[in-house]
Amino acid sequence: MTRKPLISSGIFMGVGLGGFVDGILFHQVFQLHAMLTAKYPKDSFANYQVNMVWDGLFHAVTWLMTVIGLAMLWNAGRRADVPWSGRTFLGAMILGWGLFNLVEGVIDHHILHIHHVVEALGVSIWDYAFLGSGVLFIAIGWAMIASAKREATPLPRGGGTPAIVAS
Amino acid sequence: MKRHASITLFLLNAAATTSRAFACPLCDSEVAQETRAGIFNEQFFSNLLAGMLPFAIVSAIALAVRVDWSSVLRGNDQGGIAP
Repeated sequence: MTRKPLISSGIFMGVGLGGFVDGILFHQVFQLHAMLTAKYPKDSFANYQVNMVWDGLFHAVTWLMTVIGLAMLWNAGRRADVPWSGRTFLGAMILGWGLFNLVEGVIDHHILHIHHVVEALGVSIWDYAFLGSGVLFIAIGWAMIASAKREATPLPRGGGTPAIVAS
Repeated sequence: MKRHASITLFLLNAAATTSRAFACPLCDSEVAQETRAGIFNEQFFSNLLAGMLPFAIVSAIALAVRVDWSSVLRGNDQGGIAP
């Protein structure tokens, strides 16, 4: 038995859905920053559009991450040797979201400085809070996965009666 | 006559609003040219790398989780990425 395919798919989905939270909430609804606001501040219509294009690419990749995670989940669900555990999967998604926040925060906010959480402030307490959320989500996700180890039970796939018999 | 006047008014209106309506990155307007210049410049690939790097790293981590490292480290032929 292995939980690895389930955990891996959960991380991909967590990265994708966590990326959507960032993009939808921070980039679009609150408009605190966009993908390249440190390089192209939103002080002209052209710069707005430049950022909108890069935000679109960002969302395209988050969509891709979600689709990859969904495909891997589908694959894991068809395997009899992968124990089906909602707690493991939810933990992996939270872990993935945390990984995204931590890695994206370190690279984009602190190393490359292409944007910051509240662009008007530059590097601020909010960037460190973003990193902190990443560490917290990773810890919560890790704990959930660890605690679900004994709870995970295999579904009667393969050995059970199939609902639909292929011809 | 009335029809011609309607068409003329429509065309005048379209001409007057062209610069605003065609401000998309692929359109032919001054703003669109500025937008393209802001995207497709000497920093395009570095911007692309900056945007995609976090995804590449977390994807590598997610895929690494799937690998049976104990088998890989033992050099077992049965090891590797779970099917």
